[in-house]
Amino acid sequence: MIILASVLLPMALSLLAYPLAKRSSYLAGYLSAGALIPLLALSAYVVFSGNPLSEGSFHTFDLLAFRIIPFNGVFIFTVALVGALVALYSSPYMEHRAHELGGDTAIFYLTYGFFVGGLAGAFAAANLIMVYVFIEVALIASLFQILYYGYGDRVRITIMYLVWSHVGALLVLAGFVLLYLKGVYYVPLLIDSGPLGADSVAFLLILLGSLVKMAALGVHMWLPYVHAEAPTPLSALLSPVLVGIGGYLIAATAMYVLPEAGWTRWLVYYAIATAIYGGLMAFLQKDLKRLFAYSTVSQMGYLLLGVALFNPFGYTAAALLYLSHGLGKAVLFMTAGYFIMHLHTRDVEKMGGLYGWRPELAGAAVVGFLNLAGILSVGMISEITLTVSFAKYFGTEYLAYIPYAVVLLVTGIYAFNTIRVVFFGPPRREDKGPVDLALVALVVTALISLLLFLPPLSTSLVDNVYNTVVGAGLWR
Amino acid sequence: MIYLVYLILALSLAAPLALRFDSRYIAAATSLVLLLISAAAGVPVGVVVSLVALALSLDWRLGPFGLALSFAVTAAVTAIYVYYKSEPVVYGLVALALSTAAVYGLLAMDREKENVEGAVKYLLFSGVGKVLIVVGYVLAVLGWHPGLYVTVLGFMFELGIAPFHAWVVDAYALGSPRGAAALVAFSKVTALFVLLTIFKSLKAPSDVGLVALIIALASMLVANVAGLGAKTLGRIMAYSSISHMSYALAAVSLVWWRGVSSSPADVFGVFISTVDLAALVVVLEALASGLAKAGVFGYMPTRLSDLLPPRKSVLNVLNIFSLLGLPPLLGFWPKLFLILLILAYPGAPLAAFLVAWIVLNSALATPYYLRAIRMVAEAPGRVADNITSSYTAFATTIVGLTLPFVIYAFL
Amino acid sequence: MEVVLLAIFFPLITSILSLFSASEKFKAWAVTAGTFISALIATYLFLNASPGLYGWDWITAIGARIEVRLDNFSLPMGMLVAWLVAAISLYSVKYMEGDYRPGWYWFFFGFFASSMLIIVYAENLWFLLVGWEGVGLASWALIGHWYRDEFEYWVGREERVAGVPYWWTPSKAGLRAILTVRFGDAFFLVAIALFYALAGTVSLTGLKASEALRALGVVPLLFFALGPLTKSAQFPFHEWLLTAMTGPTSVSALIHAATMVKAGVYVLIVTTPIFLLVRGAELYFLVVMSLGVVTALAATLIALTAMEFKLVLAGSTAANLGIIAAATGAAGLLGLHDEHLLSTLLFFAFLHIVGHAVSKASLFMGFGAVIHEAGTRFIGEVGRLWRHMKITGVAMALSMLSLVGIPPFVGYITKDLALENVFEAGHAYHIELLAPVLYLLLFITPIYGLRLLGLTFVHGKEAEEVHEAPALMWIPYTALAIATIVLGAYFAVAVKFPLTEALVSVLAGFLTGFILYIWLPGFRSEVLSPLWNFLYRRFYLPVLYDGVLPLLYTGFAKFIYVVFDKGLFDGLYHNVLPGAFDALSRLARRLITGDINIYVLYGMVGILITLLLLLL
Repeated sequence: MIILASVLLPMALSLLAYPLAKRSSYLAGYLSAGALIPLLALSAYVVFSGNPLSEGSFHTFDLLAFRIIPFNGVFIFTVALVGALVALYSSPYMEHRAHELGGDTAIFYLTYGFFVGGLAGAFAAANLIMVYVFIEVALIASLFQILYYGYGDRVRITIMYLVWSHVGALLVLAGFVLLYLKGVYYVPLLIDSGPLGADSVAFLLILLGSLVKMAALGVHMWLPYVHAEAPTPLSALLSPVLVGIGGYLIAATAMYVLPEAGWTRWLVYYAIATAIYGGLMAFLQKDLKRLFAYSTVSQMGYLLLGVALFNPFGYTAAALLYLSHGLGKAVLFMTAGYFIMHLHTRDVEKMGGLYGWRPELAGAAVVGFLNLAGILSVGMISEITLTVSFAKYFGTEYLAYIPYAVVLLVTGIYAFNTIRVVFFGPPRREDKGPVDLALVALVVTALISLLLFLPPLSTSLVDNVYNTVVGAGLWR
Repeated sequence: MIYLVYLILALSLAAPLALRFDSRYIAAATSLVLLLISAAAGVPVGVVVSLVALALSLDWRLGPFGLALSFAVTAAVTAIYVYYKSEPVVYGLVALALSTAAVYGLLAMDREKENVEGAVKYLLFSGVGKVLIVVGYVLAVLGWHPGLYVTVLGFMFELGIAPFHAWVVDAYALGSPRGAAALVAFSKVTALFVLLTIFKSLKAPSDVGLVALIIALASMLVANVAGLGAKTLGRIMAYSSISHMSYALAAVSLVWWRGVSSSPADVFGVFISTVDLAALVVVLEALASGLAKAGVFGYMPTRLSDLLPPRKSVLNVLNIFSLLGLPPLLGFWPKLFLILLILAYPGAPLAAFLVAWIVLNSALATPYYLRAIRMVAEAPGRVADNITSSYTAFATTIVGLTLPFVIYAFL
Repeated sequence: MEVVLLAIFFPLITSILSLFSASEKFKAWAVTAGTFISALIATYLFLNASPGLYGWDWITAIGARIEVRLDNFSLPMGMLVAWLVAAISLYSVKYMEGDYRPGWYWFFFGFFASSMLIIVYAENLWFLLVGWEGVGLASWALIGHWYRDEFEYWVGREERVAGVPYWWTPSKAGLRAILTVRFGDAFFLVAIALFYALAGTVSLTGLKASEALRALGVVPLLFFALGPLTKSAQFPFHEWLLTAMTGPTSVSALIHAATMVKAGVYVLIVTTPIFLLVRGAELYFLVVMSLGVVTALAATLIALTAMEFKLVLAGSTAANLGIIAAATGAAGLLGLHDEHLLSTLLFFAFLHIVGHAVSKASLFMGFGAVIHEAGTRFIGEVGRLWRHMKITGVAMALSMLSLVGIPPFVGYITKDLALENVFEAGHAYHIELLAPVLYLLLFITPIYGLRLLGLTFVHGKEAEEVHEAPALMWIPYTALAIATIVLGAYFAVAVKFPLTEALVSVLAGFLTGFILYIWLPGFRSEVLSPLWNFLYRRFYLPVLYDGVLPLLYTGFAKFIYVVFDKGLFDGLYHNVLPGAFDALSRLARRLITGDINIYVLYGMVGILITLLLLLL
């Protein structure tokens, strides 16, 4: 019961955080962060030791079957880690936001645990129906946060978010149901199943639903709105951890019913197109949060690419990308939130020369971008693994490498251009950004993404995931 | 069965009493009795439904209309009992008539002009429906082939399937909220269980099934599209009700049309015949819709429902989520089972179309449910959750949570 | 021998330590101490280490190992880099005193040094890639060090050519550098991944023995080469190096002499024996050699016409990098025929890294002092500095003579040896054009050197209030200037003193330069001015890089944004569809009129519909 308990703990404690938040958002923030420690410990144990954890009988139809192997462990680890840090970060931010709105932060903390717990549950649950249920729990919890603390026309945004995510979730569910009819009750990757035979309808349903969730090219349109207008701590969780769930679902379920090996090629092209498209759009944005939202679209292209390449390296890369993008994008959204709190703007054209305003912030943001661009952070390992996977897939078809290189370059362009526009140039402010818990949380997040790059952490991280994936029945 | 008949008789005799006391106590007592009968007879659905009446009678001063509530709940429990205990269909038809009269009274109870107007529309169309049901049933039993068609037509009137749905909107919006609660929790439940009883006892010609399926599919789309722009709680609930009834009818008509599938449906590894699964869909749809809407209407202190609620309700948020079909709440399961039912039949393109249709409709419904949530959660007044909303939200959640285990354990 | 890791990481460790103190002095001295310790360890290794491979596993899944290779290239290169870094670090202590961003500077300084040392010693290409990305990042950080974009740190004046701004602020120069390098790195990464995916190893030794690699063909090699070529600023990727002059002069010295650009040519040299065996490698070497020669000539011409002190030096760096690359390519070409020659020829190419590094480090630091003292970065705004800065003047003269290749300085020997490779290859492959181009190159080189010296120290506007640089600054560069002679003598004895016809063209160039800029200054020619302008505008390449390409990129992105993002997707999903449903919804709700008669009509219609359906 330990996995279930640690998934439910954040939800249970968020009921306690509700009254606490009425007194102080800091207390609620600490509680919400603390509630994730068991989950963090469990997933870290699995990821870094390589020993899977499992509970439930897995006989016939067991709703309470949970399993953490290093592959989904990385996802859970990211959720718990980012969730805990964002919880700390959220205290000053939500206090500021609630003050602006003239309310309190209680609903935020009431839903926070459900959101993060639901996400972690979706990754840890082995039963397909439970995966769906946990996704919905997370969805609904985040819905309220946008509705009550969002920006702009938040009702419209909430509806948009609800409809789109719901369409995605229902399509996935329909695919799951088809799997059910084949007698597949559990996430195939977690129970070490072999390929389940071609099933183009189930494949397309899960794929399409996941693509909507991931905001891949063509069905991405909700994401820039939602992530830009959500309260920033939520953006810092939505963008990195929620959307990536689509990639996990494709990797762990849809690929097991892949109708034909040739389909992956189209998916690869599509993923590359998504990555380039997101990067181009990010380059144009003037609203910092919208910029980061489009960058998420681009990063989801990377993640999808990892899955679509359909080899162990690609799967490993997908898990690592989830981690590196999670940490990097969390830092960046937290940075945007720090600006909102203390500069009261999201417009990059009003920024410039902010390095001197708060150097630690600039340093952390640079690290965040490095994660996205795959330079010297855990992002670099993801990128290397992805590239190896790409080379395994395409071999000596050298022309295919050119669009891939373009993907990397496009990412580099918007990343470094944004750094320049925001932090460099003639300074416009004489004062200093304050040191608060938000700043500490985001600097710590950035540092962790650097630490994970170093051996022995990166060694056990990558090798454990890779060994799990290589041993998976999918390649039999 | 005999106890139920006694109860109805006793209630009729108690009518004069109602003029002297607030007859809510009668209603409370009746529901307790029904609760005991259902429990003793082993009909859990009856327990759930009679508790709704208990909650309503504890929450509201009903004046003489407590008696109407008693009749309504008795009718519902009778229909449930008839279905589960395979009693003669006639009892169900009687219950249907009883509930129409009772709910008419409840809808009109606040004596506003609008109340009466809504109630009259209900009486008229529901009455037409009942006549058609009875006539059709008799004809069908006598062996006249299209008899069941007439019955189905009657149910379309009774359940408010588009294009016979116009009265539903007016009845929900203009009727008294207590009446609307009773309408959805008892009258519709009664009708659905009578439908099930007939479904069990008669084999329908498949062309009737096909017609009913087409109408049901069209109806859910019309309801959800119309609901998108609905502005008041009463109207949103009305369109929601139409779409839920359409889901239920779709399940039944699918089985009528395609016959009993040779391969049973696979529900989490438990194999259930398609007939039983369709019945399960209807039962769950009746409960999901009935409970949640009873909760929503049951907390409205206004005289009609065509308004924004004046007070907040937190628990009704759960109820509306159930209507929306969010797991693990109750409303999620009938939709899932409907999809499973569709998939139990061979023919991939048809199944894909039907599943896509259901999914599209569910997705389409999200915006107006969200609006309903905002209406109840952001109402200006203080939180006004009462016993009805608490009980229904609780039941919705608990039944939803335990349902998979129950199915797994008992089927 | 794992002590080599200490040599590599000591600067980084101290630079991380420096982050934890607010004191500028502590930062400066901590990092300087780190670089000196690193230099001492590198020297120890040079003297004592036995060649071999040392290391541990890092990530087995992708064959990444933290593995170092001690051999004839890495040991001297490591020592050279470490000492240059140490000298520049010492110089920076004074030079960067009172700067507004010491934390950034000193952190990236140590980080830069460690990254470069990783490249020098790395055996495993993934490990090398870590250093590779590291130098790219550090150069970006340090080129844009003066992030406030003050005028005094720009390159160029505020003027436009064809609408394109012809000035480069530090932040823009940093962006140019990192993006150029990212372009190359993307392909570099792809190439390494290809090696791993198809040959199963990325260690240099493993690759050399790999049959699979040989069968791969030349395309991955060209992908690979894009990394070194962009990093060492070969034509047409040389632009970033010129605008990199926005960084502090100490950084320029670091980038040009010890790190970054040298990483590129160093990797070219180190990988040559491996790529030699690959099928079709001839094309690869030919490309490298031709690009090298083109770069050398183009950059020399830029140096000849530049109007900023540092730009002259930057041009000359690119020129020398071109020579090294050309020599490497030539060595490969010749090695294809005679493998025994290869190591000697490569060693010649390598020697020029040393020769150039020593001269260039000294020059940058010296001219840094000049800019520091004179307060201007433009040639012609200050002159006759000889009277005020005697030590600096002598040191600069020595280093400059070495740089432009006047015997007996080290620059002459190493450059001549390197160019001999190219001459040989030109003969062997019958490339007739090569020799004249090289003569021209050798002829122009001394002219730009003497031009810079003449206009700065001998002639020009008399400067006021200029003093000799402080000792902490002049000691490093004077020491290096003296080293140019010492090393020259040493190489002449230890390797050889080349004496070829090339010397004639060098001396002719020297004479021309001497006449034009020292003896009879003030030469002007109207005829040459269009040519001059063309060169001064750096072949108008910045119009492409800062004007056309960004315009195309932004234009393309905007097109996609307007047509697809806003138009198709946003429009369809968030305007058309909701609008359509809204209209439908209104229609459906209008059915509910409240009039019971109409409802009855609906019922009738409904019954008719069902009947119709039933009958069909």
